[in-house]
Amino acid sequence: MTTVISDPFTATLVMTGAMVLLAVVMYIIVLSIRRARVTQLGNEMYIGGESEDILSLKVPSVLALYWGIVKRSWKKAFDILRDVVHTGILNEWYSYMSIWLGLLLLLSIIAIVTYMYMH
Amino acid sequence: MDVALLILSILIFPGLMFITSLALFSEWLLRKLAARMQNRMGPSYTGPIGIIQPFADLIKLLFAKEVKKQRYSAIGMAEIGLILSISSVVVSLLLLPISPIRFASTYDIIVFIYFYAVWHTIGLIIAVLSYPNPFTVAGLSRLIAITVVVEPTVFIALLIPTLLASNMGCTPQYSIFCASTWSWRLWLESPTSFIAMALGLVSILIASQAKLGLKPFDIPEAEQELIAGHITEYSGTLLALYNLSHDIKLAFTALIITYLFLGGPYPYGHLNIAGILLLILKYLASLTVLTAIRASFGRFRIDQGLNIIMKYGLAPSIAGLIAALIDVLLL
Repeated sequence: MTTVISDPFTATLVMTGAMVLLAVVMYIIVLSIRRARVTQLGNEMYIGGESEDILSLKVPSVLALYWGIVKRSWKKAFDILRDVVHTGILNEWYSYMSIWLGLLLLLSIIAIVTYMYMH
Repeated sequence: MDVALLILSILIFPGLMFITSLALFSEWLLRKLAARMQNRMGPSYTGPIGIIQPFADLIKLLFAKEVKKQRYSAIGMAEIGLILSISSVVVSLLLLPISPIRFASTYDIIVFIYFYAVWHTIGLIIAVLSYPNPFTVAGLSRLIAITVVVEPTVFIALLIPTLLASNMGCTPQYSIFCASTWSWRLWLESPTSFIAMALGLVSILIASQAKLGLKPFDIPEAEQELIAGHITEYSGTLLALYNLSHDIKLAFTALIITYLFLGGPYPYGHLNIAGILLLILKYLASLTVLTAIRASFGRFRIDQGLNIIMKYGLAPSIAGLIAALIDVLLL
């Protein structure tokens, strides 16, 4: 058993190379298997038996689906944010953002001081 | 570095051939155990107690079934995406102690996440988008919504043993290798490290269930509801590759839980009987827990699923990380 101890960059590069090599080997195998058996029969999109015209009807966009999911599962956080930030008053948005950014700045200063103290 | 050993590791052991065999066995065990828990037979006819059924399914899809070319599809792209998602998981095995050639470096947990979370997901997204379809797109949007919550959970859960092992003086610091070889000691190191490891184990079990798309988190696939979700249009070789990718991810996830939280073969090594038996026992235990969760629940709705992952996955992992930090900073 060999343990190669290196830096993370070298490890990433070597492992990415290994991944590409493996992918090429697998692709060659897959290509040789499927080449003869691609069928063009029934090449229409499967939409539960409907024709493609149905897609011209209004459907929610992918982005709306994603945000819909996020809003539903993070409803409380979303509501709080909406009530605080979307009041239409610029000053309220500004004060909200400056409080949070100020807090993050404070946290980063504490983290830097702690790091310097520990080392 | 021994290039021949590296190639052997990625192609034979623990690479493609070994992980494929393990993946097919794991799929059989999952199906059989889940069936018995639900008073069904499960795979029974192909091989002794149906053990080679997943292999037979794979061979049939690869060699007998045709690939359906849809009007807007890109078969080559789908294949490349699926192959990338498989190879990224296989390559991640090089960071575990099971590999004859092991990569270990400081902060290689980030390298691990880069392959296991980022490349795997990118490969899957490429593959899914290569067969455009309303069901596919709905499945993909659910998959992405779940990924947004699951990947941070996995990362935080994995950070717990790496942080604790580094604190105990294991080098290289913050490496998967270090966490794997030392994780069995972390349980009994101190009360806070025990709490941190227990919370980490719970959260990674929940997150793995969601990452694997097993019930109750099979929301992107959503059989019946979305036909087959993000794999609606797959057939033949493509379906074989997708199934293989899923099984390999299952086997790899169980291996990760076995090594990083249950201690792998340690305190024995890989090269003695006691160590190998212990490793197999822990692997089967983690797979059984995943199966028991899969067999006990029905599918959640997407928002319920996300809430459950946040409540029982993300929150325990953050609590576990805080316990680990307390252990590192105060004790």
